[in-house]
Amino acid sequence: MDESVLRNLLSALESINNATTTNHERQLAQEYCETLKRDPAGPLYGYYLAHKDNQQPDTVRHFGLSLMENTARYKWTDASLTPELKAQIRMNVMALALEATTREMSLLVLRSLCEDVCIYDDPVAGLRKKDLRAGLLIIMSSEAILREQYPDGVKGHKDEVTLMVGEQGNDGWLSRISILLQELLPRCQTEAKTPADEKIAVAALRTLSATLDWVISSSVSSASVIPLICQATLSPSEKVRLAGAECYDVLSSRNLSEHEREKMIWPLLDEGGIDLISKAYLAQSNQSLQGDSYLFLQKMVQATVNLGEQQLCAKRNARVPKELSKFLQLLYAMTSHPSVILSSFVSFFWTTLLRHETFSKDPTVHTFIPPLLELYSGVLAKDFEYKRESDPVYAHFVAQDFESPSDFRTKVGSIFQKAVDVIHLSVPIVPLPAFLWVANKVSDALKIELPTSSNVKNTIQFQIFDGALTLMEITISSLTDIISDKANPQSEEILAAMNTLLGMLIEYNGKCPAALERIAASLSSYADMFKLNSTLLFRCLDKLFKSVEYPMSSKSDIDVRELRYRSGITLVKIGKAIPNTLYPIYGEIDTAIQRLIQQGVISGGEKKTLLSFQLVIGFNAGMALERNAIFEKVVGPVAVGFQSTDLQEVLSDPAKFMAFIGAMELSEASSKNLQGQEVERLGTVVAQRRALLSWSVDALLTFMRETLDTKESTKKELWAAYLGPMLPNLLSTIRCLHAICDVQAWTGLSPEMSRVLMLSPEEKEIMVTGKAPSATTGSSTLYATKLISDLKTWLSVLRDHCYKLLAQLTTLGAPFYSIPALQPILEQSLFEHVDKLTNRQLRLLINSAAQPIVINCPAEYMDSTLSHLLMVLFPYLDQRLERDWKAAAADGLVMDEQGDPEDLDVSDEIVKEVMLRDLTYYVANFLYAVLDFGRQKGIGAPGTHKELTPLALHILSNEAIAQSVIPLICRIITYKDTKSCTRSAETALCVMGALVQSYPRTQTIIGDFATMVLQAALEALHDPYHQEGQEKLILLITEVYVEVRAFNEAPKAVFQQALGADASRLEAFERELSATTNKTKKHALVRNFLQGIIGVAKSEWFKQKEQGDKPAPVRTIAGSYERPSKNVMDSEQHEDIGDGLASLFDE
Amino acid sequence: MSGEASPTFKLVLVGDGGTGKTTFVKRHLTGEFEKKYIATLGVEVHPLSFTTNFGQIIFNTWDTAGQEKFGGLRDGYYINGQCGIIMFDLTSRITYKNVPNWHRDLVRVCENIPIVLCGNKVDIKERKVKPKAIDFHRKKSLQYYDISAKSNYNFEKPFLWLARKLAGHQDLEFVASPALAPAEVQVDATLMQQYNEELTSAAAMPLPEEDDDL
Repeated sequence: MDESVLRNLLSALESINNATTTNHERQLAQEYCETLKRDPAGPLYGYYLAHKDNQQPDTVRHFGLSLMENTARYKWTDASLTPELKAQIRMNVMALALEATTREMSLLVLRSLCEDVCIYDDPVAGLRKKDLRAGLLIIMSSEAILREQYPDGVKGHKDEVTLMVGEQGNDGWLSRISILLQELLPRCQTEAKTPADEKIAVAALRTLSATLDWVISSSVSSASVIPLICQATLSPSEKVRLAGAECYDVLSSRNLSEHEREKMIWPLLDEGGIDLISKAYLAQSNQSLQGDSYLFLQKMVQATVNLGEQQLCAKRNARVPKELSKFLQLLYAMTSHPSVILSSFVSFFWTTLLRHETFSKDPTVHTFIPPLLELYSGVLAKDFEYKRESDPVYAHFVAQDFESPSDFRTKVGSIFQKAVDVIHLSVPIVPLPAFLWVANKVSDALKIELPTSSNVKNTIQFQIFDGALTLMEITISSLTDIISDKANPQSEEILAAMNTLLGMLIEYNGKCPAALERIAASLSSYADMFKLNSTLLFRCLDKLFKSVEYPMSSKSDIDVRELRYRSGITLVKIGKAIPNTLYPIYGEIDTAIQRLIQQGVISGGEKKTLLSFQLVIGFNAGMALERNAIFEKVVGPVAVGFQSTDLQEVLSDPAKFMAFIGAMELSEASSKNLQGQEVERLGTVVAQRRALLSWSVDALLTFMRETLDTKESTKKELWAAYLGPMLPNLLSTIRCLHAICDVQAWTGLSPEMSRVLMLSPEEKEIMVTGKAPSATTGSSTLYATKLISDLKTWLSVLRDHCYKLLAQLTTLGAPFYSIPALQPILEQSLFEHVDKLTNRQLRLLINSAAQPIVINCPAEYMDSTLSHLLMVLFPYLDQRLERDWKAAAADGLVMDEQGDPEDLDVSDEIVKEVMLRDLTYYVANFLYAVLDFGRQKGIGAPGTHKELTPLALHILSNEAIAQSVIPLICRIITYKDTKSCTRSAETALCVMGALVQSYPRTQTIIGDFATMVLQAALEALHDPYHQEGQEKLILLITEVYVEVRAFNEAPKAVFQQALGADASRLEAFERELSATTNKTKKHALVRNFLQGIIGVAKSEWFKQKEQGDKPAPVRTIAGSYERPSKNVMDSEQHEDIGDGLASLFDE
Repeated sequence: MSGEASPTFKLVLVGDGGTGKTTFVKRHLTGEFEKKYIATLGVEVHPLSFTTNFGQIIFNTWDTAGQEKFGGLRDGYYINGQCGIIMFDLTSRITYKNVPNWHRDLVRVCENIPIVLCGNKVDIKERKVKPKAIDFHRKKSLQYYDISAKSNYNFEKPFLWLARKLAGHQDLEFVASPALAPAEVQVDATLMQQYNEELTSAAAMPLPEEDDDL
């Protein structure tokens, strides 16, 4: 050691730690200390400073240790460290460790090592992962096990040999931990236990849990660890139980071979382990738990489900454990737990089990079908709110599990879906008994007396009624294959039972419109049965037709309106499902529909639906000639009506359009303050007039939606013939709708009319909270303001329908894109008034119209249709977003992306910000959709092989378009909206891949691209706002650096300018990077260097690696909060409770 | 002026990057409010002096880097700390979520020191960490204050609480206001009153049982 360096170092540390030093001097001293970290002799100075005999103050000793840690972590593979120096450092570390070693500390050190290397996503450990992992494997196992596992003492191929030989006579740490637990666990169950016993037992179990995912499996069995884990879960100590449950979960989740499973898992399932686990679970499950006790229960459920999914139901496993029934009973008990989180979690297991090749046929599993059906059918009633209000235990867990009502609703929505899956899989296993059981349930439900309240759908009686019908629908859909299989001995009996049940539904003559609507909807589930047995088809149709014209007591009778609507929709569903069965009675259907139309007993909407019913029968039945005739008959008149000269005239000028929609009449009515019948009359007149336009658009959109999900070009051609009549008025409508978004268009009208352009309080609430406000009963008198509000709604719906109809037309492909001068026509119609649109309206335009136009464009028309459009659109979006984000930043952003939207106040500022964030996200999504080149059809599994789509190729190979889209992508990365930022980062990754793939064709653009993306990503990374998106940003930066650096200097230049980078480090990093060929190592190097520049946020510490090698995803229960990242030093106290390393674990 | 040196305490200021630690201490020193966020490297020390009814008291405030760098002394800066402030940003939930991590690191080095938890940026219109959600301080017997570096709101409160704890005099008061930079924004007094009421009512609620987490 150089004495002068030591003196300087001590002086620097004195400067840093002396409060009276100026910050400038402190900064210089800190820089000096940093230089010593890069000195090969740094750890030797460190040892000197840290050693207690040298009597340095704690601050200095601490820095001494930091110097040693720095070398071990970051410089161990440096050429500057000679083997002698490394040996010296090792000795020094051991000498220091012995100063303070206790049993607990030793376990903590071991756990820390295991976690850094095998669990946490630590880029530094990642650089030496292979060596470190091999070392850990060796120290954990005994010499005998190592010899058995590696008879030659080596692991790997001839080029990369790792020595796998332990020390002579070594028992291995797993065995030591096992002996320790054998001693401590029984003691923890007696009065004689000391606090130290519990503490060391917990430390041992935690250390064990850090190893169980990777240690040699024979070591686990030979050290008899599994019985100890089971024993720990039964401990009276809560902390020991929890640590035991953690071990159980790691073991259950491990990716094992059949051979390894034999050693590690089957003993648990065959030799009494499940008895212990069940006992441990049941001992805690009957209480209203919270805190760590509840966490224990969660862990037990998680571990048991993982044991079932990962091990028992492993893909090729055909071994049925001896105690299968007990294991399933335990899981059934977990499914019945009142916590929504726990019970829903287990449903993953049941679906996996019921799909499994071996277990789906196992008689023991079959005995669980009836109770499962009973349990999950209860979920279908969606009576969660009722339960929360009426069951205190259920409410206790809801309060603990969910931060907000919307979290709760989301979760129960997913439980419903899982219940559907379980029932769907269970029914075909026992088809006839299951159906008869369901039929009884439905029969009982039909006898339920429903309340007469206006809000009947929210009553528990209706929910039970609805649940029974849902159960029937799921059951019938699960039986489709069985009833079609004539060879199945039960098929006839099931068909007969289905007909009986259908007869009961048709006969149902309750007076509640909501119940009738639910029954009408359920009739479509019988469509497949009608193919085999159409005895009741005619009666079924008759019931639906009668429901379509069900008498309405008044125009505002919402329940009856919904019944009529639902009946029509059900007819369309049946028409699509069995067109050939219905075609023979098409004549009768046509007559019935014409009668309803001529008698004027149905609304425009119902007429449209019934025409769709006719269309889907004709369009989907197998007879081409008849198809064309029916198509002409249904679509022709509507399309011709849409191109009428009257409408053309109205749409030729926004002012005429204003008159057509009744703006002047409504303005006058509001000025004169008209009320009651006068308003009603006016309302009827303008509504009928507007319907001329909106009904045509709506009907055409519905017809297209019902018929254009086909790949048959002859069917598409039917529509292509109507492009000419439809397109001009459609585009004119859009143009007029955009033009009247200009405030100027409304000048001269009454001030009340300005409401058309403003968001109503209800709209604002929906936009911010995502939830419709509860309806308020307004005045019964009809005012002109109601008509103004109706106009606003009508305009919004028409705009939405027009965009969607245009999107449907783009799916026709060449016939659409070959329309002469399409590009200027589209630009003029869609974008001429784009400045007048609010961000919300622009978002819809981009998402519903612009995106389909771009995405559906065939390659041969991209140049003529898209090039100019995109060259204008991308810069426009860029400028608009930049302008609005600047303004938003100046006003102060007020939203929290992570927060529950229902907590937000619905202020104008929030609404404005929501609109801006939504627009930004939709633009980010639009860019992703057009540039994501990995999803092209025909390409293998995601991520295996990427190929540019013609669209991405067109955009990126056209310099002008590419140079307009790249700044847009990059700027979105920097906006304070993490969702949009990460989406754009994904897009940038796609683009980067494309540019690299097409190199050297992309030579001119790749450098600028890398510079812009890296600068944007670094800026976002530096912004604390984006902490949650850091992972994606780091991935983007590393990918861009690793991929682009091979061709271009730009990445290096960006890093050079970054805050905190120093030239010598950068050069050393670059040298190491260029010397590395392994891509994973290159990534680790960049990440490591990057962390040196930007640091690591607290929340990124001890982050676990993403699981990549599991056969099925390991499941984790997402509770109401995530525990903060924990590391090895979390143990509450580190008292001197042991006897030092030498005596540790001596037998 | 007496010749005696004023009592001086090492105060460690920690919390996530961007929560406003540097801004907070610089209000007292120079009145300089950094609009642009520049991450602190390593540590800076600022002596903050207050006049009390018992005489002068100085807090040597160690403003540490929130975005942990590999450089610097990391928790070495906490050694010999006599009191602490953990800061989070009321407009960023994640910064509150990290409070237990900062607390754990701090008390591991400095056992049994008085610590104040501060939620900064209360002036910003829409706070994300609601008063009722802030209960970490109750589990760990810390003191909590909403503060706003931009408006000087409650600037002196954390120091006053720490001074009382360190001096062992609950009747200690600051007798002169520290020289602070003029407020850049005014907080809404009614809203602050509402927050205070919510904090008081949250303090009356029973604590969840778990001991480590938020």
